[in-house]
Amino acid sequence: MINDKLGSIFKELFYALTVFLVVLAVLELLFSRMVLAYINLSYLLLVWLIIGIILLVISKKKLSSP
Amino acid sequence: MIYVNKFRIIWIIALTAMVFVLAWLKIVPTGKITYFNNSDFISNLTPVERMNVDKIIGDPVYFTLRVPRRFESAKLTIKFKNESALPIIEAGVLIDKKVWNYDLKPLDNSILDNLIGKWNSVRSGDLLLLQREKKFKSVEEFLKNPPVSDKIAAYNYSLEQNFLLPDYKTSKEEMTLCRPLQGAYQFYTYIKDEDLSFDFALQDLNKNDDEDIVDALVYYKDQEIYKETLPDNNSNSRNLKLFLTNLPEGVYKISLRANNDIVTRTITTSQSKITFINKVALADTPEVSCGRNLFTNSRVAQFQTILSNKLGQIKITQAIKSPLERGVHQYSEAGCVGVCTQQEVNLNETYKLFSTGCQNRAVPCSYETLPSFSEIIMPSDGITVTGDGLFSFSLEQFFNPEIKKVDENFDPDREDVDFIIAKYTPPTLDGEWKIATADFDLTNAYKEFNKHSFLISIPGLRAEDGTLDGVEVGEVKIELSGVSLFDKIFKMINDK
Repeated sequence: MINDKLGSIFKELFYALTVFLVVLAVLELLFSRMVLAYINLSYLLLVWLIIGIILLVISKKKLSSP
Repeated sequence: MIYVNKFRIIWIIALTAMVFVLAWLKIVPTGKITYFNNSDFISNLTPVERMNVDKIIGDPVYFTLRVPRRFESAKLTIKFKNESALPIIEAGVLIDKKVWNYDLKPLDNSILDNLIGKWNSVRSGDLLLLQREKKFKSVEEFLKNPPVSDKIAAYNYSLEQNFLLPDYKTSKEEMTLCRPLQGAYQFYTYIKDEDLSFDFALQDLNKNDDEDIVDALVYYKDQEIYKETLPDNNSNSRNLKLFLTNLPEGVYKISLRANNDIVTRTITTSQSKITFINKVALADTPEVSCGRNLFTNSRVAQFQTILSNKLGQIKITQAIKSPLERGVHQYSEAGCVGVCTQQEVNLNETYKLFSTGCQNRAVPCSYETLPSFSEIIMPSDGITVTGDGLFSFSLEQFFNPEIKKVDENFDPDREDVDFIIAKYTPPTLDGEWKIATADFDLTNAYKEFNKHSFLISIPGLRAEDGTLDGVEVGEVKIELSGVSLFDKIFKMINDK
C-alpha cells in the first residue's frame, strides 16, 4: 500500500521533471543562454535521474512481491 | 487520483510560469534590465594575471556583457576602493575591433578631485570648470570666450578651437615618409592654401587569412569629412590615395584603419606637417635604412616588441628645439634647452611593455617624466612606441595642435595650466567604497556573439611591479535601456 502511494508520487514527479527538462532543453536549443543564464539544468537532470532510479527500484520490488 | 490531478495542474502552471518568466527576461519587453557581476551576463575581470582575487593590479582589465537583445545605452556603476590613490580610473566599451578603439568614460580622477578643493570650481550640468584664479563666472562664459589655449587643459571634453600656425609656409615639394609602419595609426596634418594629398603605399603581409580592408578617414574639427576604403584584392601591394581640394586652413586628422597584416611602406605627401597621435608601430623591415628616430612631446613613453632580434637599448634625449609655445619651435644653438637629460630604456624582453620614468627601476632615479620635447633614438625597427603625446620623424614635421590633457602624468603647476574644463562627476562615497557611474552609447558599440566588450583602464598600474597595489572592485552593475516591445509594435503599426 505504502509502496503504491510512493510509487505514484515518484511517477508523477518523474513525469513532471521529464516535461520540465524537455521544455527547458528545447527553449535553450532555440534561444541560446535563455535558460542556462538562470537555471542550472545539471541539478535538475540529477534530481530527475535519482527519482528515475527510485522509481525503478520501487517498480522492481512491486513486481517481485507475491 | 484527485491528488494526482491537483499535482499535475500545479506543475503545469509552474512550468508555464517559468517559461513566461524566461521569455520575459529574454525579450525584456519594458526595454530596461539590470545585470550584476555575479550573474551569467557579466563575465569575470580578465586577464587573471592582472587580478588578485577582486583587486585589479594591472592595466587594463576586460569584461564582457552578454545582452539578450539589442539595447541602446548602458549605465555602468562600479563600487571600488582606490586605496593606492591611483590618479585615473576609466571604463570603456569597444567601438571598433579593428583598431581596438574603446569609448572611454571617467570613473575616478583624483587629480581633479584634489583640485576641486583647491581651485575655484563652477559646474554646468556634467561640465566642470576649474580655475586657478576665478576669472569666469560660469562654464558658458568660459566656452564663449576661452583664454589662451596654452593655459587650458581638458579632460573627457573636446574643446572647440581654431588652431592656426602663424608662420606656416606651404611646401612646394612632395615629401616621402620612408619608415614602414605596421597596422593602424592616426596623425595630424596642417593645410593652408593647398590640397590635401596623401599616397599610402601598402604591403599586405597575408600572415592571417582574414580580409585585410584598409580605411582612411579624414576629420576636420572632430567631424569625419571623407572616407576612402581600399578592399582586399589579394595582391601584396596596394596604394591608397587621398586627394581633397578647397579645404579651409586648419588642422586635419587622418586615421588609417588596418590590421597588423598591413604595412605602410611609404607615405608620399605634399603636406609638410605630420605628427602621429599616441602611437607609432615601426614595422619589422631591416632592409629599410631610412631614419627611425622619433621626436615627441610625450611625458611618458612605452616600448614593446614581439621580436627577440629587436631587443636593445633605447635612448631618449632632450631635443634640440623645444616647442615651448604651441606651434612655435624655439631653437638653441647650444643644443639642449635648459638642463640636458637623458634616459635609457632597456628593452630586454619580448612582449613586455617597457616605460620611461622611474617605474620598476632597481636604482634610484630622479626623473619621472620626459623633457617637454625629446628625441627617441631607436636601436632597431619592429618596436611599437606609445605615449601620451605626439610623435614625428623629424623636427620640421612636428607641430602640436592639441589642448593639454589631464592624464595620469598631469601636473598643473609644471605645465602652467590655469583652467581645466572637464566632463566629469566625482564618485560618491559609501564608507570606504567609492561608487562611480558612466553612461555608454551602445548603438555604435561592437558586438560579437551577443556580447559587448568592456575595459577598465587604470593608467600606470602594472602587475609586473609585484607591489599588489591596485583597485578593489566590489560590485559591477549595468543598467541597460532600449526600445520597449510596446514602442516597437506601435512603431511597426505606424510605419504600415
